[in-house]
Amino acid sequence: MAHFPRLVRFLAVLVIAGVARMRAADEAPRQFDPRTLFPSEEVVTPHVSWFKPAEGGALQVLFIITQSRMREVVELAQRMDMDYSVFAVPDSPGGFNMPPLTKNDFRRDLATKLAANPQLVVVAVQRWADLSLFQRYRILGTIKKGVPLLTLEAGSGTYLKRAAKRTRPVTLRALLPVGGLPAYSEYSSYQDFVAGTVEASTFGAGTIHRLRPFAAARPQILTPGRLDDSLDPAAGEYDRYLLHVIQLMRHAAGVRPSCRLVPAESATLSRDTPMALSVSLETQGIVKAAVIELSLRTPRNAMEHWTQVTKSLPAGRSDISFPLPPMSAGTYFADVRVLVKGKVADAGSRHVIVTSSCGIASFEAPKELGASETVAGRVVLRGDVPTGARLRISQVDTFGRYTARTELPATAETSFRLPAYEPLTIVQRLVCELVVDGQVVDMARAAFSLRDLHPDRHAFRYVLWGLAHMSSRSYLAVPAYETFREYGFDTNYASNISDVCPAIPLANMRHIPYATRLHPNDGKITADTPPNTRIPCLTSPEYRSYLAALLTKRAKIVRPYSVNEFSMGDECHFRFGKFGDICHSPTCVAAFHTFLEQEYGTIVKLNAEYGASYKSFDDIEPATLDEAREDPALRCLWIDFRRRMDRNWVEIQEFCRTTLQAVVPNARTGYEGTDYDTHATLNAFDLYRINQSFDLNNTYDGAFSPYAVVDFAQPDALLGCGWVGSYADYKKYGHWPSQAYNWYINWRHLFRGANSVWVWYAAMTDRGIGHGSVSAPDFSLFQCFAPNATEVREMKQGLARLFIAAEREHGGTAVLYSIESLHVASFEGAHGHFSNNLRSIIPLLEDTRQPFRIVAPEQIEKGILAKGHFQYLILPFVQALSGAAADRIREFVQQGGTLVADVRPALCDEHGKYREAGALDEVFGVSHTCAPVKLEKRTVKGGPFAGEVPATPVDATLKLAGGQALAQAGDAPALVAHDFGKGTAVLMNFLLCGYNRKQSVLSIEVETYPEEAPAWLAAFARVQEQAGMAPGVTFEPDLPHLRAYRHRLGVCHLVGVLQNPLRARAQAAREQDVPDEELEAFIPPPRSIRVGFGAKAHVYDSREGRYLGFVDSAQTELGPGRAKVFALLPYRVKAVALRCPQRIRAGEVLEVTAEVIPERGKAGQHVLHLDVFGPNGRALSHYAKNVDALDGRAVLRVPLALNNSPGNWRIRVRDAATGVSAEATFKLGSLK
Amino acid sequence: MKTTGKILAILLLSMSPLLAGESKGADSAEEQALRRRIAAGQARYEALLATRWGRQEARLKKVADRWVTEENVPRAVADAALKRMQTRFRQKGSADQSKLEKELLQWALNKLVE
Repeated sequence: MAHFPRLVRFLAVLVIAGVARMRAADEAPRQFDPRTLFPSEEVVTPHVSWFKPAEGGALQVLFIITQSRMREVVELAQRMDMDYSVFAVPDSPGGFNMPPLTKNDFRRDLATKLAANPQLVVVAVQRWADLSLFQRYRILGTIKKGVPLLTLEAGSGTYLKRAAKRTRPVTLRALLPVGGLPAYSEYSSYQDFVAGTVEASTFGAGTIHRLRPFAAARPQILTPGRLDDSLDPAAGEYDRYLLHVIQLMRHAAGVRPSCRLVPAESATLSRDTPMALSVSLETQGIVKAAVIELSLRTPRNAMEHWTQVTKSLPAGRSDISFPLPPMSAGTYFADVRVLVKGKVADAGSRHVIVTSSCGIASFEAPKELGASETVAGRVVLRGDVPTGARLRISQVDTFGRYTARTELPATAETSFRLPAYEPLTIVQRLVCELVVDGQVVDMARAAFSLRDLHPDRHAFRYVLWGLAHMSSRSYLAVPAYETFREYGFDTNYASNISDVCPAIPLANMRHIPYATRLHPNDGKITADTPPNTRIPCLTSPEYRSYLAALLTKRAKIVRPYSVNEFSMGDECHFRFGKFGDICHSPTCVAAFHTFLEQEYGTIVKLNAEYGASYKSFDDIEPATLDEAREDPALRCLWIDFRRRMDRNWVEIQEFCRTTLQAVVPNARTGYEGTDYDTHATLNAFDLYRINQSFDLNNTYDGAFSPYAVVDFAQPDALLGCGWVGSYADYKKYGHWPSQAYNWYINWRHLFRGANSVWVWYAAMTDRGIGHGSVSAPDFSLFQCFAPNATEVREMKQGLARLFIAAEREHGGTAVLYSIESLHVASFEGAHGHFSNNLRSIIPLLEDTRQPFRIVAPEQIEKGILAKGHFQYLILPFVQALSGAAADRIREFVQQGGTLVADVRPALCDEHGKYREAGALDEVFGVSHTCAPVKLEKRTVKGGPFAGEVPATPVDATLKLAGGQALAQAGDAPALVAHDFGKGTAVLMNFLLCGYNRKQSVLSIEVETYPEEAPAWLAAFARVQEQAGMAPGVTFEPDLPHLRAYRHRLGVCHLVGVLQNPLRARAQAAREQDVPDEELEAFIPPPRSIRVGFGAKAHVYDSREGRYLGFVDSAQTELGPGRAKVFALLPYRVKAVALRCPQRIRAGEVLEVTAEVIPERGKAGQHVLHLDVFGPNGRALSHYAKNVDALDGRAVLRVPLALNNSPGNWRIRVRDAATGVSAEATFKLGSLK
Repeated sequence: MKTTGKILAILLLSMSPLLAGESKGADSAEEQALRRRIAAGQARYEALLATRWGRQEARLKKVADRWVTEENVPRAVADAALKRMQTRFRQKGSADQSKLEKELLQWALNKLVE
């Protein structure tokens, strides 16, 4: 009780803080996109407009619907006149996170919407229990007062069931093609169908209609999903399922049309006799001049026949007979709309089956083929096929292009082969028609996929982690993926490896399966688990066998769809969670012994290195870090064991790769979200070796690792430099930094060397604030993210490919990454220095505009310094280095190279053993203490440093031995210069690790800088001057963190210019004295800057397609976060010359020769972008392409389709670097 | 508030042998003093509880009144629910407004779908 006053004080603080927080929330801007709560109609999917415009006006409907299903409201709105409001119900029990909206706001919102007196309330939730008691009370209260309710029987819950207990017959009578809808085909009559699918009841003054259970497929909720697995889905079924819902909505709402269609069973018509279809209508009074429209559509919604009649209808029943032209045998939907005074009074559809006395009994076609294989099959006919009948077999792709056709005499059994063609899509369809006297009598369809139509390895890829919550059985799956393809995405990355409905290739997207996840499971650690053992152990034969079986199975599932890229998962880890110094399993120890034998050859040599007396390699037991630190004799053993574990992690990647490539030859494999700037010795992330083991990798953003991944990657690897998308920091509505980040980030990745951008993620749900989706449940992109897609669409018009074809220039500078040095630093407790140093050195190079390339010791041993024409080598905290690598570095300096190192370079060998003297001491002209030394934090002064270098770790024991001390850190030399052979060595006896320490990889600013950053930058610039390094690109004014990225493609130099938008804003705010409290709302203006290129060239602003002259600098306007691309050429491009035939027939391949014409001299390599426009002036995106034009020349092939519209076509070819373009036209003639 | 109540309840429960006079041996001066302190503490706690309930009750009554006037929940039902809230408050040291609302809501919902 003595503590009571303190407790009261504590409680008082809590209350005050709570009030303060509430006030802050009230004032907080709404940063969630409104489309999370209310769907927009921005995305239009194919649909039949049943009730548009509707007689009686728009139906007023309130939808109370699960958020992930809101798209179905839009689908209904596309098909009927509806004035609707939506109350979204969260999918997850956690609810929405939409400050400043509170629970009370949502209560008020529902109450207001219910009070608006809608004609109908539709509650579409999986379970009524998903609604709060209050919501259920309000809804049922409204219904009881007389507002009709339409909802689902499944998940009704206690209260709804009790409310709906007074059942009554369902009086719905509408025209619906029940027999043609797979989910309803079991019903033998319309009456049975109505009774079986809907239940009606009265509740007070209101009515309740409940749809009986069916198998919906998210995001559908009111309609059944697909029941088939076909590669040729009948999309039209969805229109008729929705028609049923619309009919029911209108019925439940009590709509009384002037004229009503009468239900009718399926109609079976024989094409052998004149065909007619009757439609019955009922009217209450006379209806003058009713227009009755009839559309005959196939199950895939292809319009086969359309007609209309105008009739005055007497009161009562009228029958109208529509004569039909001879249709081919098959099933149809006869869609009928009755228009009175131009408004739709009623709409319905009837199932029609057309039969024929002769037809196609079976159509056998392949299920899977190689892209270059001939399509062949067999047709068996039935009935008496007249003489002269023919079989026409056509191949159609998923763009609707007819690509090949053959026509044969129809015999009882006919084999066919189709002519070769150049396929554009993975899924292909075959249409077989039996033609008698010029009429199609019967038709059969088949579909197959191509297994090896692999993506262009030099294409820029926009990868979407999606679509979460999208069932492959949903009719909306293909339209949804198609929508994202139109945004620019070409590839879907997902864990759901589906073998039933490949919606992704059907939407002409690529699929990268998340094939497994290489991650340890510490949840499986038990008392029986041997110490320091990974679960699963990566060398365990049982685990390998399991993994091989899993990967093989999954690869076989996706192989038919030309999938040849696989990820081993997201955020894979060798070590994670409770695991420590792993893995000491018997198989890993055995592998360690083998490794040691390979490293040392004999036990004698090992004993000499370790200072031990092992009798054989098999006697050696691994030690943990704690054990090794206690016994210095175990130091090298521990480091060698870590090196072996690095290889262990590499080997499992190789194992997965080999397994997958056994099923899909040459598959690209790798992982994503794994290599980031957390350099931890136990994690076994040897960035060099791991990137040698595979060729697919997308990192998180960071300072060092994205560059390491790019620089160490295998040729043609698919590389991303960081996940972008829906992360909290930049997922805000009405938030300039969120949008500016999305203008900026993809260019940062491209400039750094990525050839793909990976987006996390697109889902049908979003909680509001915080990590979530890039898109709304209505399939539209959120406002904050939309600029990201806009930028990519521009990048894909050739500029991205230009950078992919080019090489990132290193400017002669190499930076050494040494995993062995990480192990040594970790052993000696200096791991933080190692990580911070790498995180700082790269931004320092970027901010001094010094291009570079990261290299590994093994590459140095193999002579990369000479072969790569490097002039400078930087060793950041490289304490451990093999003798061979040290020798190459000595040679490099002797032959004129410049070596720059920071503290204690090459004092240890690759096993971590201290040498008697540093391997490079002679090169630097110094003498190091070759034993562990604790670095002291000191300030560096004197010499080239105008001011003090901020306090930083220094080796206080360093002595000069021929080198010249240019600056001091106390009594220790801090900057030592030494000439060695023809070259120079500069030793910074201090670390630059204070420049950037941030590793928040999901922020707008991945790097942030301390106040003393300018001092670090100045110090590093002085070191660079000392070493003779000079930036090739300059800026005037020299804006902080404005960066230049140099690439080279033959004679063409590319300069990317980019500044983080928040850096730009901070700088502009400083200059304009913007108060801190106004900073958030401050949008910085564009800056005029002069970019110096170092030498004269013909300079182009590539994004604007503008020639800037033969200059060595250019004045330009730089928007905050906006990227600039300059192309520097030794010639001015006069024109792009095109040669293309003036006439071509449909189905032929158009060959266009394009040539970049320089004003003088020969053209180098260019990238050309092709656009093709049809006779209606619209671009056909499936023909657009980028090609590499070696020596400025390229032949562009456009495989035109047989059904491409005849007329005048136009092509446009644009040179990506200069923007110079040319157009040509050709006449497309009809088929012979 | 909730935490305070719990702490007090736990404290009182842990001292229950002393309160019940079940200590073995003769009452020492220390034990008597402790018992006095506990009794005083209990009295303070009761007073605090009563004060707090007074405040809570006013708030809860407002909620109940709203349900009576706006949603036609009978006064007797609301009062009975309030009584239960008071009992819960005494047991747990807190009375959650949402619990009262839920109780009245359930009553109203049941009535609605009757």
